Amino acid sequence: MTSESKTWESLKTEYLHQVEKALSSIKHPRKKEVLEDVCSHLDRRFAELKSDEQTWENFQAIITEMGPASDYAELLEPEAIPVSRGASRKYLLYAGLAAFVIITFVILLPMMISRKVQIIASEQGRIEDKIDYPFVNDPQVIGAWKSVDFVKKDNDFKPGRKNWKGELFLNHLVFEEGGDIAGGLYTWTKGLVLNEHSKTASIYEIKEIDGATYLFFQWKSGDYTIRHQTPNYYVLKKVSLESVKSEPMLGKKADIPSTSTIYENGRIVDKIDYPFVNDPEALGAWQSVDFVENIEDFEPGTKSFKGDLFLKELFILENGRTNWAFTWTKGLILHAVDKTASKYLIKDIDGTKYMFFEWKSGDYVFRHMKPSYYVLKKAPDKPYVESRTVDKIDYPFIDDPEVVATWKSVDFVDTVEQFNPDRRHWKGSELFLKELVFLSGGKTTNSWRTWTIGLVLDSNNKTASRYIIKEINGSTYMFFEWKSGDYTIRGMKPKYYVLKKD
Amino acid sequence: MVQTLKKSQGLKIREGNIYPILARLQTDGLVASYSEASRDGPPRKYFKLTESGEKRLADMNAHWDQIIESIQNIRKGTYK
Repeated sequence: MTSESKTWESLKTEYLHQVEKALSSIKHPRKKEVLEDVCSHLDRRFAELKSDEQTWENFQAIITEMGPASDYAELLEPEAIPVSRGASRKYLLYAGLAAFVIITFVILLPMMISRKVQIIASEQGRIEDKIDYPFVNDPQVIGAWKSVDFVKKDNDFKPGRKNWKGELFLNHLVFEEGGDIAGGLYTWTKGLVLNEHSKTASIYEIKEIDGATYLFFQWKSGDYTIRHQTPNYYVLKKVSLESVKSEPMLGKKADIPSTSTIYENGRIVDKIDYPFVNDPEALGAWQSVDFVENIEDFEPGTKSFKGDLFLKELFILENGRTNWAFTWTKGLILHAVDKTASKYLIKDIDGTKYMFFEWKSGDYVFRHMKPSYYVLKKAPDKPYVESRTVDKIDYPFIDDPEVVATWKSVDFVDTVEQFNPDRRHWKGSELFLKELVFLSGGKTTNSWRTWTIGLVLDSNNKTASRYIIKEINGSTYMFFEWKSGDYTIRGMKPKYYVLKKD
Repeated sequence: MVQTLKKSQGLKIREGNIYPILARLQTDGLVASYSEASRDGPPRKYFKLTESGEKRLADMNAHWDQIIESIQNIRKGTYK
């Protein structure tokens, strides 16, 4: 049990004890049932918290939202309460019943029966499908499938007649044994293709048409997740693995520099050890205005990219520094961890300077797609002010015998829930943090890194990173919050190293 | 259900309030409950209206409509 779980359990027990005490003053036959319902409700609320939300403040908020313990007795036996309060409670009772019926029969039930894929969240209008399905094998789907058409409805497809007049963005899908799809973007289980980044679950269906085998794959792009349109279908035909090996899964093929290396797992590693050469034209602040497939697609004053731009601004600083994890030298922006060298090009368009910055994401690194470009506009008046997040690190030492051990890194995940011991999430060649050695008395093998129960304290970077210990399939794992510059400088949510007890 | 109720303006409800209310409705025979296994944790409890619950709801809705209409009439000065 983690330290957070222990704190939660004690708060929950105390609240249930208060409710039980309040209910002891009445004789309603269902009071035990109410207590059980409240207990289940609390368990569910705790289970809904993401690991980084498991804080004392959030636990208190859950308990506060439940309401005073005395409410339970008053609502269960309103006859026992004074008339003046009874009137408002009676109103609440009727309103509760009416709202219950409206919500259950008018809102929830129609939602539940109209969708085959369960939608679990919709934040700011964005649809997120349920994606945590257990793996169920489907021998028929294993192998390579090549796109032949893109249709509105699956029965629009006619072999030999292409509906879609443009280029097909999805070139192929290679379903591997065990639930992976080559390229690392998708995984699969019987009947579904799952994308944990976009949080979509796309239905696939295999059909025999005129003696050939086709796969109909629901295409859940931003048109579905953001604009709530009905997904179209890619139609893919079963082909040999050899025939798709040389092309990327999506988009156009990247022009991979001869100085880059392609590893056995398909990862491209660019040459990044370039000497620094200054470029006065590049120095300064640049603000993102668009994200385009080709440089020539950009039109000043028009934003063709419909989503939110991930890279908001870029400061090119003296001596090869930037405000991101990038470094730079004339003509190139380098990323030491991702091992990418992205070209940049500065153009003067209608008297304004624009930078076209080759964006080498996983689509390039793993899926060999031609990189798209961030278009950044020079912001000459914007000064660079470095601000850092500094955590409180002066915590007293509280022992945690469970943590004293050597822990070896096995994965790097966005959230604790993402970790699957049978399928590594991190697709890179190696993990930066190899191990953590926790010694007794709050020490580690690094003088600047100490610990107290639930936290690892870094006196150099002034960060307090949470650690969570979990038993999974008989092994002990630690989830260690990784507070890099993405957290301290760019304000991003920390990811987690997953370490296994040695 | 609670989350949606909490969004309703003017309806102040605490998360825990729903359980004694539902327990009373069950005792009065207006609501029935059943449990189903859940993949995400402990079994989930579902509630549905019984026949007499539906009838009571219809009566209450009619009564509520009547109250609203009466109040509106008073506000508009239809009743002197």
